[in-house]
Amino acid sequence: MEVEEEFPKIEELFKELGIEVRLVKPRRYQAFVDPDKLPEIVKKLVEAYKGQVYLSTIAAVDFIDDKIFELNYDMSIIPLKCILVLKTRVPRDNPKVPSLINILPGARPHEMEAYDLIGVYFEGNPFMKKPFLVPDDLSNVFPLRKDWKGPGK
Amino acid sequence: MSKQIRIIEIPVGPQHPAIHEPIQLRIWVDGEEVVNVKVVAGFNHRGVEWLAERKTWHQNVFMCSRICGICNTIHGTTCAQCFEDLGNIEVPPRARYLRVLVNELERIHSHMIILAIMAEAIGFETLFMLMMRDRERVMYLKELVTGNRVLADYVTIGGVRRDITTEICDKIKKHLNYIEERMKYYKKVWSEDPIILKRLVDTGRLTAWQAIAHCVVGPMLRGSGVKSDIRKDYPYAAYDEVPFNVITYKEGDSWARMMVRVDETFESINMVRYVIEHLPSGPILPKVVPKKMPPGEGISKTEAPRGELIYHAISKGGLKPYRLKVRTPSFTNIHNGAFLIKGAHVADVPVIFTSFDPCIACCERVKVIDVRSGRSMVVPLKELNRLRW
Repeated sequence: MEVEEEFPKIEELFKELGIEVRLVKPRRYQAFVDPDKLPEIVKKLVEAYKGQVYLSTIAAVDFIDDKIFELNYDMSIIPLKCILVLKTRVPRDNPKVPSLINILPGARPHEMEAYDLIGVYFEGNPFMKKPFLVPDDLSNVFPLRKDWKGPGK
Repeated sequence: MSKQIRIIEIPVGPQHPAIHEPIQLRIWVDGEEVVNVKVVAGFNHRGVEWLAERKTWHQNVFMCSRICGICNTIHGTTCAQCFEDLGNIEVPPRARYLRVLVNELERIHSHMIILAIMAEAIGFETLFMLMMRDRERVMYLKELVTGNRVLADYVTIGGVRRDITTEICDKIKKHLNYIEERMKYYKKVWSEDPIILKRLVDTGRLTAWQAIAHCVVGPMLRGSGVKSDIRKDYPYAAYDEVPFNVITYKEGDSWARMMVRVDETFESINMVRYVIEHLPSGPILPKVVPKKMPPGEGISKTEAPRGELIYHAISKGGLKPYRLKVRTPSFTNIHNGAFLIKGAHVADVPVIFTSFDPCIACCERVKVIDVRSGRSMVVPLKELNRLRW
């Protein structure tokens, strides 16, 4: 990996895919993607940057007023030295997203954590289970959902 | 005659009295070879993200410092930077340099503690004692600068909370000379001692491609030859002005991961010296720090001693964050690195796990269950280390 290689720019790559991407801060891109297209886009990213892409975290947010869950996939692209935030939205009553575990095995604990705390189901991940991090007595609730007020309430 | 069941399950953990972050490793062994491993987490889940939604921006910086005991300043720095990114708050140059100073002091003592713990895990207790003795000087320096030995609470939104004097700078220089001399000796020990080399070389080998695909970060990534350091790639604080080298080792085994930490300590010592020499004058806090933040999104990535630390804040305006996501380096290193234990010998499990720098947590007590007879016994880690498997 010491040889300097030419890598495509994020804008060019997303132009091919027909998705709008914008630079929100220095070294930070953001794109809204369809949940079904997510594995395809991540696969394309991994291929384009010769595998030097990793998933930093999945920040799942409950927008209860809009009745959606927003998932922020913070991807780090090592050769370009930038972050790409892939935002995807799923309805609150049927939160299902295809899993990235076959493309990036490292997505496993992040998906397990998002399922445990927010309750977004990642289809294709065989490790979906509760409780993963929360105690056993909270195994039937999703604590980071905004309609959960706290234990015993 | 029916085939005998030879697979034995060994729960390693979940309690370790020395360091926080209790976690359990369930390993299944066939003879002395580990055939499967499962990480059981959540013994210490405190719901920090849930709490963060109920605290103000300024309270959150203090609360996030309490996520980790050893690397508390970097948590405070990352949280403050995340909110500064959200509110577009400018940090004065002197405060940026002082953040580098304290974070590098923290990196020195964090790397020294894991090197010491690794020495203890392989039975080299003299080295453990010596390194912990010398580490105490770094804690003293941290106390001089921040006012506290461990939990510094040094960083706040917009800057830092205490200024530094020339007397403190002189003391830091004096003690750093001593620490550098000692570290040179320890580097010699870590790279030449036959016991260390026998236990660490070739155990838990991780290739560069595996490391990236499994999303491991920090010294684990650099120990596999991937040149990725957040301080260089996404400079924050004053890291774009302070010169340093990114340390990489190509071997990818436990020894390489520890040597990355040894060499990074020297880099950190030089960085602290550079900061003291080139400290700009001026205020340490901006004149006005807002109590409310605008709606939007803030991300901050930093290089904690254990690897990439990331905070992602979502704001809808007002006094409190709508959502604060914290991803600590140990979370990904433990869960994604655990597959390295598969195929290793039982005696190598503590070595591989300690080389992740996981706030060890797990390895003090081992329960051995014989599947055939249902007999179980509790064995302390030290005895497990002594056994010849």
